[in-house]
Amino acid sequence: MRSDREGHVYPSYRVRANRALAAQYLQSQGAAVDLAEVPPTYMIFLRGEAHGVDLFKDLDVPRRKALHGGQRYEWYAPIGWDDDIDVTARVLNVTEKSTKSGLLWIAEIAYEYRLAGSQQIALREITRIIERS
Amino acid sequence: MLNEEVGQLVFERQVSGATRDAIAMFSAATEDPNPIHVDDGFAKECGFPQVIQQGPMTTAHFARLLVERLGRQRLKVLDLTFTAPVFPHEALALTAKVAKVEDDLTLDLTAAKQDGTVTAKGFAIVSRTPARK
Repeated sequence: MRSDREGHVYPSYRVRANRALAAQYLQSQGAAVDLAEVPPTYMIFLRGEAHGVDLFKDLDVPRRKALHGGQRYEWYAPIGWDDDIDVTARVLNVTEKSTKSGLLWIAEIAYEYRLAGSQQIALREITRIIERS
Repeated sequence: MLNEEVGQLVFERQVSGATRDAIAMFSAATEDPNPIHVDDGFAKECGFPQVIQQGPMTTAHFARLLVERLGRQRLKVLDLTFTAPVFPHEALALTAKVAKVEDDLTLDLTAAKQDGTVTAKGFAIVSRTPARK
Protein backbone atom coordinates (compact mmCIF):
# COMPACT_ATOMS: atom_id res chain seq x y z
CA MET A 1 0.00 0.00 0.00
CA ARG A 2 1.34 3.40 -0.93
CA SER A 3 1.80 5.50 2.18
CA ASP A 4 2.92 8.43 0.01
CA ARG A 5 -0.76 8.88 -0.94
CA GLU A 6 -1.51 10.20 2.55
CA GLY A 7 -3.15 13.58 2.20
CA HIS A 8 -4.06 13.08 -1.45
CA VAL A 9 -7.29 14.84 -2.37
CA TYR A 10 -9.26 13.68 -5.39
CA PRO A 11 -11.03 16.11 -7.71
CA SER A 12 -14.57 16.57 -6.43
CA TYR A 13 -17.49 15.00 -8.21
CA ARG A 14 -21.22 15.69 -8.14
CA VAL A 15 -23.91 13.14 -7.31
CA ARG A 16 -27.63 13.12 -6.66
CA ALA A 17 -29.57 10.41 -4.84
CA ASN A 18 -31.34 8.10 -7.24
CA ARG A 19 -34.73 6.73 -6.20
CA ALA A 20 -34.42 3.57 -8.30
CA LEU A 21 -31.03 2.71 -6.80
CA ALA A 22 -32.30 3.57 -3.31
CA ALA A 23 -35.25 1.23 -3.80
CA GLN A 24 -32.84 -1.56 -4.81
CA TYR A 25 -30.64 -0.64 -1.85
CA LEU A 26 -33.51 -1.11 0.62
CA GLN A 27 -34.90 -4.17 -1.11
CA SER A 28 -31.53 -5.92 -1.01
CA GLN A 29 -31.50 -5.50 2.77
CA GLY A 30 -34.96 -7.00 3.11
CA ALA A 31 -36.20 -3.61 4.31
CA ALA A 32 -39.45 -1.87 3.43
CA VAL A 33 -38.99 0.29 0.35
CA ASP A 34 -39.91 3.61 1.97
CA LEU A 35 -38.59 6.44 -0.17
CA ALA A 36 -39.93 9.32 1.92
CA GLU A 37 -36.31 10.20 2.72
CA VAL A 38 -32.92 9.32 1.28
CA PRO A 39 -31.74 6.32 3.37
CA PRO A 40 -29.06 7.49 5.85
CA THR A 41 -26.27 5.34 4.44
CA TYR A 42 -27.33 5.55 0.78
CA MET A 43 -24.44 7.94 0.06
CA ILE A 44 -21.51 5.57 0.06
CA PHE A 45 -17.85 5.78 -0.95
CA LEU A 46 -18.30 2.91 -3.42
CA ARG A 47 -20.01 5.27 -5.86
CA GLY A 48 -16.77 7.24 -6.05
CA GLU A 49 -15.07 4.62 -8.18
CA ALA A 50 -17.37 5.55 -11.07
CA HIS A 51 -16.18 9.16 -10.61
CA GLY A 52 -12.43 8.58 -10.63
CA VAL A 53 -11.73 7.68 -7.00
CA ASP A 54 -10.00 4.41 -7.72
CA LEU A 55 -8.57 3.58 -4.32
CA PHE A 56 -7.31 0.12 -5.22
CA LYS A 57 -5.26 1.46 -8.10
CA ASP A 58 -4.08 4.66 -6.45
CA LEU A 59 -3.10 2.99 -3.18
CA ASP A 60 -1.66 0.03 -5.09
CA VAL A 61 -3.82 -2.51 -3.27
CA PRO A 62 -4.52 -5.72 -5.22
CA ARG A 63 -8.23 -6.49 -4.88
CA ARG A 64 -7.40 -10.08 -3.98
CA LYS A 65 -5.56 -8.89 -0.87
CA ALA A 66 -8.06 -6.20 0.10
CA LEU A 67 -10.60 -6.24 2.88
CA HIS A 68 -13.10 -3.65 3.94
CA GLY A 69 -12.17 -2.87 7.53
CA GLY A 70 -14.97 -0.56 8.53
CA GLN A 71 -16.97 2.59 8.03
CA ARG A 72 -17.87 5.75 9.91
CA TYR A 73 -20.77 8.06 9.10
CA GLU A 74 -21.18 11.54 10.58
CA TRP A 75 -24.48 13.25 9.74
CA TYR A 76 -24.68 17.05 9.78
CA ALA A 77 -27.65 18.03 7.59
CA PRO A 78 -30.37 16.22 5.67
CA ILE A 79 -29.83 15.29 2.04
CA GLY A 80 -32.91 15.51 -0.18
CA TRP A 81 -33.70 13.67 -3.38
CA ASP A 82 -33.27 16.80 -5.49
CA ASP A 83 -30.07 18.04 -3.86
CA ASP A 84 -26.91 18.15 -5.90
CA ILE A 85 -24.08 16.95 -3.70
CA ASP A 86 -20.41 17.74 -4.24
CA VAL A 87 -18.17 14.98 -2.94
CA THR A 88 -14.49 15.30 -2.08
CA ALA A 89 -12.41 12.29 -1.11
CA ARG A 90 -9.16 12.57 0.84
CA VAL A 91 -6.71 9.86 1.95
CA LEU A 92 -6.43 10.63 5.66
CA ASN A 93 -3.73 8.18 6.65
CA VAL A 94 -2.02 4.91 5.82
CA THR A 95 -0.76 2.83 8.73
CA GLU A 96 1.01 -0.49 9.14
CA LYS A 97 -0.02 -2.97 11.81
CA SER A 98 1.60 -6.23 12.89
CA THR A 99 -0.89 -8.99 13.67
CA LYS A 100 -0.76 -12.73 14.43
CA SER A 101 -1.54 -13.46 10.78
CA GLY A 102 1.05 -11.05 9.40
CA LEU A 103 1.39 -7.43 8.47
CA LEU A 104 -1.66 -5.36 7.57
CA TRP A 105 -1.82 -1.94 5.96
CA ILE A 106 -4.83 0.19 6.74
CA ALA A 107 -5.91 3.29 4.83
CA GLU A 108 -8.60 5.66 6.04
CA ILE A 109 -10.29 7.69 3.33
CA ALA A 110 -12.74 10.48 4.15
CA TYR A 111 -15.56 11.49 1.81
CA GLU A 112 -17.17 14.86 2.45
CA TYR A 113 -20.62 15.45 0.98
CA ARG A 114 -21.53 19.13 0.61
CA LEU A 115 -24.78 20.66 -0.60
CA ALA A 116 -23.84 22.12 -3.97
CA GLY A 117 -25.51 25.51 -3.48
CA SER A 118 -24.40 26.49 0.01
CA GLN A 119 -21.41 24.15 0.28
CA GLN A 120 -22.74 23.26 3.74
CA ILE A 121 -21.41 19.90 4.84
CA ALA A 122 -24.21 17.33 5.01
CA LEU A 123 -22.31 14.13 5.60
CA ARG A 124 -18.83 12.83 6.26
CA GLU A 125 -18.05 9.19 5.61
CA ILE A 126 -14.78 7.48 6.43
CA THR A 127 -13.98 4.11 4.96
CA ARG A 128 -11.15 1.83 6.03
CA ILE A 129 -9.43 -0.32 3.42
CA ILE A 130 -7.13 -3.11 4.59
CA GLU A 131 -4.40 -4.82 2.61
CA ARG A 132 -3.28 -8.25 3.81
CA SER A 133 0.35 -9.29 3.37
CA MET B 1 -39.24 5.59 25.43
CA LEU B 2 -35.57 4.98 26.07
CA ASN B 3 -34.59 5.34 29.74
CA GLU B 4 -31.11 6.52 28.79
CA GLU B 5 -29.32 4.46 31.42
CA VAL B 6 -25.98 2.76 30.90
CA GLY B 7 -26.52 -0.89 30.03
CA GLN B 8 -30.02 -0.43 28.70
CA LEU B 9 -30.78 -2.49 25.63
CA VAL B 10 -31.85 -0.21 22.78
CA PHE B 11 -32.56 -3.06 20.41
CA GLU B 12 -31.68 -6.66 19.76
CA ARG B 13 -32.87 -7.71 16.34
CA GLN B 14 -32.31 -10.68 14.12
CA VAL B 15 -31.83 -9.92 10.43
CA SER B 16 -32.28 -12.74 7.94
CA GLY B 17 -29.31 -13.97 5.97
CA ALA B 18 -28.98 -12.27 2.61
CA THR B 19 -29.37 -14.43 -0.47
CA ARG B 20 -26.77 -14.31 -3.24
CA ASP B 21 -29.27 -12.34 -5.31
CA ALA B 22 -29.71 -9.82 -2.50
CA ILE B 23 -25.93 -9.43 -2.16
CA ALA B 24 -25.63 -8.89 -5.91
CA MET B 25 -28.47 -6.38 -5.77
CA PHE B 26 -26.72 -4.48 -2.97
CA SER B 27 -23.60 -4.28 -5.15
CA ALA B 28 -25.66 -2.93 -8.04
CA ALA B 29 -27.46 -0.44 -5.81
CA THR B 30 -24.20 0.91 -4.39
CA GLU B 31 -22.35 0.80 -7.73
CA ASP B 32 -19.77 -1.50 -6.18
CA PRO B 33 -17.66 -3.18 -8.89
CA ASN B 34 -15.83 -5.56 -6.52
CA PRO B 35 -16.33 -9.15 -7.82
CA ILE B 36 -15.80 -10.63 -4.36
CA HIS B 37 -19.54 -10.19 -3.74
CA VAL B 38 -20.77 -11.87 -6.92
CA ASP B 39 -18.09 -14.24 -8.22
CA ASP B 40 -17.33 -17.42 -6.25
CA GLY B 41 -14.14 -18.04 -8.23
CA PHE B 42 -12.78 -14.61 -7.39
CA ALA B 43 -13.82 -14.97 -3.73
CA LYS B 44 -11.87 -18.25 -3.56
CA GLU B 45 -8.79 -16.53 -4.99
CA CYS B 46 -9.17 -14.07 -2.11
CA GLY B 47 -9.17 -16.90 0.43
CA PHE B 48 -12.90 -17.21 1.07
CA PRO B 49 -14.99 -20.32 0.37
CA GLN B 50 -17.64 -18.35 -1.52
CA VAL B 51 -18.84 -14.81 -2.10
CA ILE B 52 -19.09 -12.55 0.94
CA GLN B 53 -21.72 -10.05 1.98
CA GLN B 54 -20.78 -6.36 1.94
CA GLY B 55 -19.75 -4.84 5.28
CA PRO B 56 -21.80 -1.75 4.39
CA MET B 57 -24.92 -3.94 4.40
CA THR B 58 -24.38 -4.38 8.14
CA THR B 59 -23.86 -0.61 8.46
CA ALA B 60 -27.13 -0.06 6.61
CA HIS B 61 -28.99 -2.48 8.89
CA PHE B 62 -27.72 -0.67 12.00
CA ALA B 63 -28.61 2.75 10.59
CA ARG B 64 -32.10 1.60 9.68
CA LEU B 65 -32.73 0.03 13.10
CA LEU B 66 -31.41 3.10 14.92
CA VAL B 67 -33.72 5.31 12.87
CA GLU B 68 -36.67 2.99 13.53
CA ARG B 69 -35.99 2.97 17.28
CA LEU B 70 -34.87 6.56 17.89
CA GLY B 71 -35.77 8.66 14.85
CA ARG B 72 -33.64 10.03 12.06
CA GLN B 73 -33.01 13.40 13.68
CA ARG B 74 -31.18 11.89 16.66
CA LEU B 75 -28.59 10.00 14.63
CA LYS B 76 -25.18 11.76 14.66
CA VAL B 77 -22.41 9.18 14.20
CA LEU B 78 -22.22 5.50 13.31
CA ASP B 79 -18.79 3.85 13.42
CA LEU B 80 -18.30 0.14 12.71
CA THR B 81 -15.31 -2.17 12.37
CA PHE B 82 -15.91 -5.30 10.32
CA THR B 83 -14.32 -8.21 12.15
CA ALA B 84 -15.35 -11.36 10.26
CA PRO B 85 -16.81 -12.18 6.85
CA VAL B 86 -20.53 -12.82 6.43
CA PHE B 87 -21.56 -15.40 3.85
CA PRO B 88 -24.88 -15.81 2.02
CA HIS B 89 -27.82 -16.95 4.17
CA GLU B 90 -26.06 -16.21 7.47
CA ALA B 91 -28.47 -14.46 9.79
CA LEU B 92 -27.10 -11.80 12.12
CA ALA B 93 -28.16 -10.66 15.57
CA LEU B 94 -27.74 -6.89 15.83
CA THR B 95 -27.54 -5.40 19.29
CA ALA B 96 -27.37 -1.82 20.55
CA LYS B 97 -26.86 -0.95 24.22
CA VAL B 98 -26.35 2.35 26.01
CA ALA B 99 -22.66 2.68 26.89
CA LYS B 100 -22.32 6.33 27.94
CA VAL B 101 -24.76 9.05 28.93
CA GLU B 102 -23.23 12.49 28.44
CA ASP B 103 -24.44 15.45 26.37
CA ASP B 104 -25.19 12.74 23.81
CA LEU B 105 -25.73 9.01 24.18
CA THR B 106 -23.09 6.55 23.05
CA LEU B 107 -24.43 3.14 22.09
CA ASP B 108 -22.28 0.02 21.79
CA LEU B 109 -23.13 -1.96 18.67
CA THR B 110 -22.48 -5.62 17.93
CA ALA B 111 -23.40 -7.87 15.02
CA ALA B 112 -22.98 -11.61 15.52
CA LYS B 113 -23.73 -14.82 13.69
CA GLN B 114 -25.84 -17.56 15.25
CA ASP B 115 -22.66 -19.40 16.32
CA GLY B 116 -21.58 -16.29 18.23
CA THR B 117 -18.94 -15.06 15.76
CA VAL B 118 -18.84 -11.29 15.96
CA THR B 119 -18.85 -9.83 12.46
CA ALA B 120 -18.96 -6.13 13.31
CA LYS B 121 -18.60 -3.98 16.38
CA GLY B 122 -18.57 -0.29 17.01
CA PHE B 123 -20.67 2.52 18.34
CA ALA B 124 -23.27 5.10 17.52
CA ILE B 125 -23.63 8.59 18.94
CA VAL B 126 -27.20 9.84 19.17
CA SER B 127 -28.63 12.96 20.69
CA ARG B 128 -30.54 12.64 23.94
CA THR B 129 -34.27 13.00 24.13
CA PRO B 130 -34.75 16.79 24.47
CA ALA B 131 -36.97 16.54 27.54
CA ARG B 132 -34.32 14.57 29.42
CA LYS B 133 -31.40 16.93 28.86
